[in-house]
Amino acid sequence: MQRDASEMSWVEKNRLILYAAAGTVLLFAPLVMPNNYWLRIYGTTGLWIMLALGLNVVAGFAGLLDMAYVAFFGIGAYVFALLSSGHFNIHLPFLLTLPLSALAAMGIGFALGSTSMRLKGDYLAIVTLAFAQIFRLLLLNLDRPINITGGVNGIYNLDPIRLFGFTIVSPVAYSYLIWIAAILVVIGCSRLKKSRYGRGWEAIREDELAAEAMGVNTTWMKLKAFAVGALIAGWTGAIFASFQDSVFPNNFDFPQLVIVYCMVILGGLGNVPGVILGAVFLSILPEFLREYGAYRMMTYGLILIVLMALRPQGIMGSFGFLSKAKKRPDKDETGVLRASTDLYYQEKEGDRTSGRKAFSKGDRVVLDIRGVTMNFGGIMAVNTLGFQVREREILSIIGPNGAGKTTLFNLISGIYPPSAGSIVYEGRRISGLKPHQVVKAGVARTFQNLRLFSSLSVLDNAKVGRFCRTKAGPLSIVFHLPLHNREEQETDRAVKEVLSLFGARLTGYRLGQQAMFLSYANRRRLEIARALSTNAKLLMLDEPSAGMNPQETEEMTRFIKHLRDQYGYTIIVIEHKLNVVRNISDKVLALDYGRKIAEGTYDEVANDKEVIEAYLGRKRQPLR
Amino acid sequence: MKNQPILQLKNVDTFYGAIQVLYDINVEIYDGELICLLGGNASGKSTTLKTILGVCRVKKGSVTLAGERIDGKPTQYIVSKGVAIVPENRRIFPRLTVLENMEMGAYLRTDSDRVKSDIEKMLELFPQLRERLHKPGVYLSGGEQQMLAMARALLSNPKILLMDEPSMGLAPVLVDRQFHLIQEVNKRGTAIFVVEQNANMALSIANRGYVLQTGSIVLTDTAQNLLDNPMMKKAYLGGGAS
Repeated sequence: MQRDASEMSWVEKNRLILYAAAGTVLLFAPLVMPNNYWLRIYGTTGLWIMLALGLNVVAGFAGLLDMAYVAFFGIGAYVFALLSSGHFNIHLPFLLTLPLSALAAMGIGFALGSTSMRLKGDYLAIVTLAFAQIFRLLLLNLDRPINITGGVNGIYNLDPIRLFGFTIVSPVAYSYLIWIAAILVVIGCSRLKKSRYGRGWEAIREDELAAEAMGVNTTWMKLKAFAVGALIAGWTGAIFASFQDSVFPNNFDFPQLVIVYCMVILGGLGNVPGVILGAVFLSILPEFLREYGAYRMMTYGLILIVLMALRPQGIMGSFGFLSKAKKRPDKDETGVLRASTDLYYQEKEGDRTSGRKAFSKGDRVVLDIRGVTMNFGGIMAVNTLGFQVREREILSIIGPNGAGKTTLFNLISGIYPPSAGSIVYEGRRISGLKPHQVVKAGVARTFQNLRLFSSLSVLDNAKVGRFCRTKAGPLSIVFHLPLHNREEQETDRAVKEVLSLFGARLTGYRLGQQAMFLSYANRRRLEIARALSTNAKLLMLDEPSAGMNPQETEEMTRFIKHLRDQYGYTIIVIEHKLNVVRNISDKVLALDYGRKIAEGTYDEVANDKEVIEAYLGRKRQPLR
Repeated sequence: MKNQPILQLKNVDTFYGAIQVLYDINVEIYDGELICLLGGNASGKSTTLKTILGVCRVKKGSVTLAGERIDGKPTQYIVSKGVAIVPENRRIFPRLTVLENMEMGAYLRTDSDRVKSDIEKMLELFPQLRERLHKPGVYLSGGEQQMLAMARALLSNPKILLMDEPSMGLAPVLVDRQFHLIQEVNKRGTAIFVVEQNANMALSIANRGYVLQTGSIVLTDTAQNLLDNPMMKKAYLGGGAS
């Protein structure tokens, strides 16, 4: 993972200095605080940071609107209080209660998640909000018939923490404890973000369907995000309970949830340093506004509104020196007409055209589709369709709009199971599998209307494709175990190799560019690169040249051929441009109303009466 | 007829944040004309349309509609003054029926009797829509969606119709039909400004064309001259490439 110094941002170059500075500040901060009041604020700030980072995993990375988050914070705190106080006369040591409370929160988070994960967006928010309310009502009312939660009075007089012979009582000692816990959370979250987990979560946030179709097990990953968030909340809750020496239902109410969300949104969803800064800012700000009494909350709200209006991407969003600046080619002054914006790209002629053909069509059937039918509530999008794809064949599918071409791709890639019929790939039945399982089996696709992960970099977009080929779990990632390190290096190498197929259009300074800043044609290329990164052997390209001009279309045509001739991919392509179809296809399949109306070589299909009528129009050869 | 342009962009600069996208754009469209705007990806074609509609702010220069300055005005005002758009990828309202989609096009109109007869006219122009009148828009095929988007735009009674890549993702037979329809609508008296990648097709029906490259207009001429221009052939028309 060696990179040029020029590729790194200012922060990365001066990383060690920044770490040392932060360490020094944290080491001496508790000692120089003016009084206990400020020490308390300092400790609380550390707690808020942890809490915000936990929510950042759920809402920031994975984009799940978890409104029960504060309840998990409460579960951690209450479990801690019950296990180390006189309430039930249980007095477990801190080193046992801390993980127990965190795991309890995680377990309940997991349970709640597994019942509500199928819900999306607002619906998930409503269900989790209901859960949070139930939790609070339980806290308030479970003091009868058996006193479990202590009702309104909560639980107080917790055991003092004893750690390695020290008893933690003084505010200074608590400050150190909290901030050490916070640093652990910060490291864990940063490492998660830069791993296959982080990329998987962010892919889900950006486009769930595309994430699934690129091999991310979205249901499972969302559940894990929910659980990790709950784990961090529970962990923070335990420390909070001890810090406050008591727990009350009011500590875990709606206002706390709103504040944590403000911190995460202010910091920028998914941005770890940003969220830390947001948490620090919103923990300290109220203290400065205290003297304004009634105006305090108003000022607080006003500052939030102004900040969000000015920097919707969060306070750390994009400071020039923190992230590489995005560039658009300047105005072209040469006066030569160019159909593409990629002014600085020169295709190396030899690469594409003269390479000797290493692979050609084989005879073995790799994809066998039999009697596949898709019935959308009475509308037959695909109707008892059957065909075979042979090894290293390029098959083009043509047909009028609404003929069922994209539906066919959706069926093969598992986005929905066929109403009838079977799809067999390499001897294995793939109909009925989930999209991520189909990708793992070796079939990857692109989308007609571009579904990139727009705020991820070019490199990360392609890396998501490697998700299904890697296995590192959360422990391996958080502790940087060999499995994770090896896989990351392998991922980096494999992805760069794929991207280099596209030359300067996707490599160099573009590696770090967010997908949304790419030109339209480059976004199409990146979609293909992402599909290639999955190690699939069968590629399904949905209108790869749509929206490209003749020059770019020609290049794309050559590229598709190149993928087969030089790398031996089997390719199914949906295409409307007939010159593309003519140039690349071994076989052409024409669909209309979900049925096969013709199959054969380009010439056979193009001369078919039915095809001309349904698709080509009276002029058999189009103008171009 | 050619006294005052119905739509005029004069020395227009447009920015996205700090990035300049359009440089000194000059476009004039007269009543009843069919004009096309050609250019590669990210050359600023869609931005030009967004600038006319007031979605992107004009930083320098002016946009006038039949003599009235419309730059800086809100989009809904500009639409009420007679600009309509058929957006890229159609963007019909998926859960509204075909009829409701069309009625949305007439949202700003108050003459409900005329709207009814105009809808009837649209159904004559696009007979396929009549069969689907009460179906949600999402069930339409690509070609039908394109017709619906045109009908919706025309129902605002525009002085000028903007079209963003109408041929994108359509089967060849539909592309022909689509351009035929554009011509038909134009013949009925609506000025049309169409943005296209499919330069051959667009020029074959247009009166004049403009060519955009990295945000500047580098060429403007009659459609026939553009078709014959050797530089155009090389860069956009793919002359002899197939």
